[in-house]
Amino acid sequence: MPVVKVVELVKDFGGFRALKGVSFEVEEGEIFGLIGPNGAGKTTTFRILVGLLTPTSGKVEVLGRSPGDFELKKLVSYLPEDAGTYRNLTGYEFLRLVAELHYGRGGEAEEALELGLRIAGLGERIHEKMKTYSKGMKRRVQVARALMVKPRLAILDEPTVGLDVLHAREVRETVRSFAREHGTTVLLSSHNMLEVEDLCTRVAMIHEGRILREGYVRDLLQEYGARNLEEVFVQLVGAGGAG
Amino acid sequence: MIGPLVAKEVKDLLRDPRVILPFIIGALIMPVMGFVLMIPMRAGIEQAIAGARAVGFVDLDGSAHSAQLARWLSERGVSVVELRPGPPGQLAEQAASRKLSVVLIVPKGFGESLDRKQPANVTVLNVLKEISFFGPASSAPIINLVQEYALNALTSGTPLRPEVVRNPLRTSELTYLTSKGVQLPGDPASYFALTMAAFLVPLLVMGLALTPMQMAATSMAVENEEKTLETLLTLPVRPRDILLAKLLGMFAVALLGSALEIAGTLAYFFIVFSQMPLPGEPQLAAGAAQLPGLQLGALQGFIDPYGLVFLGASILLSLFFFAALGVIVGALSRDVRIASTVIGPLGFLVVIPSYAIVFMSSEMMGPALRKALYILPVTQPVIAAKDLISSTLPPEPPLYLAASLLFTLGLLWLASKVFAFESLARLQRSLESLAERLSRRKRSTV
Repeated sequence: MPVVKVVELVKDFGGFRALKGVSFEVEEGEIFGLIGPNGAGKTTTFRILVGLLTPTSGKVEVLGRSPGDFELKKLVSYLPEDAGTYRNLTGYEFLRLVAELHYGRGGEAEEALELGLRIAGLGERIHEKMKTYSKGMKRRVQVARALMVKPRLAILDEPTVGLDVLHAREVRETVRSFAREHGTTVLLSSHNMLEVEDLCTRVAMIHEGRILREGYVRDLLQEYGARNLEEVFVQLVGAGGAG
Repeated sequence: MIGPLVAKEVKDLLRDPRVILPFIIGALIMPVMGFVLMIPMRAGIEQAIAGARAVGFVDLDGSAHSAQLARWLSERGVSVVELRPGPPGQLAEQAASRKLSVVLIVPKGFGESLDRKQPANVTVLNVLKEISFFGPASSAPIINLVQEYALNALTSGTPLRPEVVRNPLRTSELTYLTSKGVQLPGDPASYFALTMAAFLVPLLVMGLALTPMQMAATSMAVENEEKTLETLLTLPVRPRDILLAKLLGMFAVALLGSALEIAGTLAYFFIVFSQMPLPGEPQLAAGAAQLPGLQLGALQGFIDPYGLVFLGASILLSLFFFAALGVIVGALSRDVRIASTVIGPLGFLVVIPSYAIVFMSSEMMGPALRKALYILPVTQPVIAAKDLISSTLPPEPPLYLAASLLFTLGLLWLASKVFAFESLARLQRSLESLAERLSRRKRSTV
């Protein structure tokens, strides 16, 4: 059974149709990339998957349940693209808060906190207020927050946005090793197609609210005779979309 | 499950200088204001009480009476300085050069009028450097002494005694407050402090209510501005718990802030009233008719202790309501700027009825309006504070407290219904355009 199943998903915002019949599936244990330029519909799709938005039409299932289900919130972690931090809390306090919201006070929460501290890797600075953190440090705390509860599905919207090359690489490594170690399914988005190529096994290319193509990275490169996914995307957009 | 969220709210708020500094500054600035106000006020009042101890004297009459008047004043401790006659400007210059603020001009005919047992004329020239709140010494004590002299002169050789002419009637006045069933000595004007309290306490209560609303709106709007609410809504916690935690955290901090504000205000009043030089307790006329129950201790029992408990509970519920309103405004605001724009006009919801309550008598309000004001958490503590001091509370306070609580819970229930990412985003867009319109209107009126 797929972890995520999206069929003919449509989302309207007033008179604007943001998603025009999006369909794709994510299998258990894989790192799946939803790639496309800004405004393509990636964030809207993710927000529907985590129950923040309701679909106008279409079918969405996450771990066999409808998005927004309270029990599902314990199994799915979502990292928004521009997730902010509480300026006056320390990174440690923030991670503890998330651990306690998931597990209450006790051993499980302590274990999750321990894992979060390890993923964040901020050393003693984790005890400083987050308003003193750099953008990279904040993002690492957010990634740690999303992964520390060992979700069955982690939805990461642009996990490396705004990070420099080294920090972005660090975050990618963290996601990759975490998924491998804990068997977590990862659905991530990026407009950086080279990054997705490096991290994902399978991708769906989205443009103007439509999925242009879905498949294994290796197969897509071969099929389009392209050196990278960027070239595949350009060919698809140039060809008018449908593949 | 909301424990960690409440703790987070309290920590986040208490560490935010934008939230806590106004409370601390407010608490510290009030006593400082008291001191700053008291320095000139005390000097001014002392001077006013003491009156002028020196007077410029211009004798245009040259009669025995005018000479006697000068001696009369000297014998009563007033330093009499003879001035050369001249127009007021010249007299004022002479007085100013000798640091005199009062000049007594005794015109021709003064002595003759007194001899003929007729009212005599005098002119008093007050010499001021500038118009100010705490002006120079009052001329009243000098005029009183001149009147005393004239009275003695007019009654000499007659069977009348000056003190009888001065006080031909022995009055003893008292006030009975029917709403409280309390009897007080003196006329209603004697209770200036109580009148001021009936005016200031409701306004203080109103101020207390506005603070948590502003704070809650800012805190919740920061969640939107910093995009932390989106994350929070995807964590395993119910939206209504997020709202409740926000509210409880806010309430705890608002209580602390309110306590600081009250402490600052009390310190202000303590400084002002403890430093105020007063002429003394009002004295009853000697031998005044003693009426049953007439005693200064009648103020005991003036404030009903149960009423105080009701007022305390009402203020707490009101803080809760305003915190809830602030949370809702903040949740609907995309950023702090929008929240502040909306909170301003919303504050008038409290200010306008509160002013009406302060200035309207119970009779003007009518029973239906009074009931409505007691039911609404916006106005309940304001009208309760006024009634507690100036009249009496209605007989059904527990019902009113329940009504206030229900109002707040209803508001929260309504808020929890729209507390979803999508509804909030939609409402935020509407509120943003409303705030834009408000800002544009404000700019165009400036």
